[in-house]
Amino acid sequence: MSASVEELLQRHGAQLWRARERESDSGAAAAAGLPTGYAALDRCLPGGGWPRQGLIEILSDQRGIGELRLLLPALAALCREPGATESPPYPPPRSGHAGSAMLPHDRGSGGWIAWVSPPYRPYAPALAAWGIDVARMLVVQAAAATAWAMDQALRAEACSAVLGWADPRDPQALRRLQLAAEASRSLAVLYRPLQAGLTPSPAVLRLALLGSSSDGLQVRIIKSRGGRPATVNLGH
Amino acid sequence: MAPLARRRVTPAFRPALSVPDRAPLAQSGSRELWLALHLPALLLDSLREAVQALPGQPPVAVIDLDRNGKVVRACDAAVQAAGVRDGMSINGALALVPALHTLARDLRRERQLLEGLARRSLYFSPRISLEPPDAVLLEVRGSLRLFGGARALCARLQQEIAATTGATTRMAITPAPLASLWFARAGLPGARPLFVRNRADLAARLAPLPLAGCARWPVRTLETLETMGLRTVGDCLRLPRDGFARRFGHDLLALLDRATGRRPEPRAAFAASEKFDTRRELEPELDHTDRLARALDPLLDDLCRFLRERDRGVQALEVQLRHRTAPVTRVRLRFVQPVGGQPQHIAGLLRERLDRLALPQPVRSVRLLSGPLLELQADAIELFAHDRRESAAHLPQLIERLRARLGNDAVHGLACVPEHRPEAAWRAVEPTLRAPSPAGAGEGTEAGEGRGEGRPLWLLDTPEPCDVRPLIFEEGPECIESGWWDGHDVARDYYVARNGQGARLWVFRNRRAAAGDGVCWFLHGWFA
Repeated sequence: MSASVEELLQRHGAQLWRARERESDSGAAAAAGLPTGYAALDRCLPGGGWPRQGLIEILSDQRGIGELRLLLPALAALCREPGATESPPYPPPRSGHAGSAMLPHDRGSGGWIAWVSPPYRPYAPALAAWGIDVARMLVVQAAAATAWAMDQALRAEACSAVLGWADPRDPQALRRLQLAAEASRSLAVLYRPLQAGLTPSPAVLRLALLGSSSDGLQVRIIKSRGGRPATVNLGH
Repeated sequence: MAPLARRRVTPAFRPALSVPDRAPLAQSGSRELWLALHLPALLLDSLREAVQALPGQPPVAVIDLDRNGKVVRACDAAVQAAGVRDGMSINGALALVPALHTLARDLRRERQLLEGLARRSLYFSPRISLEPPDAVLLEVRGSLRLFGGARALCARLQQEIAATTGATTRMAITPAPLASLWFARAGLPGARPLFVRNRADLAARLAPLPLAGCARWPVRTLETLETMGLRTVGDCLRLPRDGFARRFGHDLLALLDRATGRRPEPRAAFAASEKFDTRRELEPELDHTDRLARALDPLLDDLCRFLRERDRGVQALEVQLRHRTAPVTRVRLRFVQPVGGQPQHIAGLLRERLDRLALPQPVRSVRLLSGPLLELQADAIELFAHDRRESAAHLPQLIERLRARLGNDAVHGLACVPEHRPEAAWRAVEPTLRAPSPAGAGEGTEAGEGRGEGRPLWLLDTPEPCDVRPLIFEEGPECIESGWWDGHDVARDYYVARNGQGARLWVFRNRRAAAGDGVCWFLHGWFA
């Protein structure tokens, strides 16, 4: 006799592990994503936003279709997080553990954002207009060592977000990055060419970006741990 | 001469030097006590090592070049007993003591000895001042209680100096630095160092000092004073102030005022200029950078201990690798913040650099040199190691690690510049940890206000020629005409355009391009 899935769910509901709820198993706080600032996208992502742990891959061949705008609301939010408004070199006086409870997020890494090997100049006035603290940008030109530099930035726990532009062909380099991103509390984003979508990757979230003159930016979720592939149209 | 003569008729109303003015210049508010540490035998003491190395302990004299040729400047007691005096020509001294061994005076060693003494003195007081060539001044009021009084302090100091440098010293403690110096130079009889606690007593205590021995005034002045029958400090103090100043100058009067404590004497503080410098010979020679890094570990440990003992940090390090014939290979490290006792951190950075180093030859010896020692910033101590919220504290280390491998220019921060030309409206800056502004947008708010809107997120370093025929223009033109004053004159019409794939471009038409030039449209940015 074979019990249907529905029956199993009813009988062992609490004990069954469901892929969709994977993140919430490990604690509600950890599962909550960082809101992307785009409601349509948030709805399709497990945790309702960018995964706070693990590597995010954004695949795109085109420039100027909104590949940065996709991230900027979240980055601006990181700049405003409580941890970011503390002055980093002089830690505030702590009164035991009661003080830490007052800070809702445990990831305010001073609001620093590392840009590793960006293809063009991140333009400071435009970033400032998006509400990003330009004084806490770290631009790194790492050329062939981009994966290494990202890895260092993630392991150092010094940045709120680490963005990198590279296409590591070596699966081990990707794996290393993913492990570093998993262990780190920084938002880890790797921009790769669209072609890379054909090969598997250990990243927790993979998005392919397609631009079109009529519909604007189209975000295709190729892989999402705990979520489902989907396509979201974000418009112009 | 007329005013001089007129004043001379009323000697009784002129105050003597030692009488306090109606308004004393130096208030008793500064309750300082200065210990003068005088080295009467500096010349011989500085050459102590050389003297001890001589076989058979011959009689020794230190000679120096004078206008009259080589003259004796210092000699030991035995030679002095034979009749050799300071300033005697070398031939005269040799005639008196045929076995005399002469050493050339070494100014550099004298300076080293003095600075060594000053560094030792830092254990006794934080305020040290050098009085070259042969004295150190310590402000000791705060140290007296710690060391159990003036006598105990002097005894400890003497003991310390005798044990480390073997130099003979004479000491005196008074409220005025110059008075202390004079007392110490005069070398009063009695084993106990002189101690004057009250400023008011100074003039009376200074009075018996012979001018020739303590005050280093010009020889002509001293001769003039002596012909007037003035041999001691007290003789000078009895003279009328204005007459003394007129005859010998205001500077000399000021010196007397400083000695008696009527006039304050600010002293320049001595700062120990210490550096770490250690070598290690490698046996056998090493040609593998990995092993080289391991060979450097003990040196780094030494460095970190050195820094911890002094509670200081370094911001620059240099590793020199010596080869058999090839020129020395230098590896320089710079840190964002002074680093103190963290050998792993420095070793990690060094390894990063050594890994990419091509050695021309095997390395015979390594040398580790530090830059100047700097104050450590007080954020290095983590009370709760598990609480890693202040993770921006790791940022300097990250920047150092990245720079060690990628080069200094590969890592920078961003800043907005209030400027109309897009390429000049930003600049690369040194990333600094500073208190962020509460607005969360930093300098960007005031500089980028109004200008950040309608600007692309990606900017091309150099605008690229671009074909605008397939583009659909959405916004524009925005005219930017600026920069005629610095030679980078621009006159452009900027447009926001969309291409067939939905990408938004920032293009401009160069209005300065000649009509027949062909290329006048450029791509300058992407609205990413």
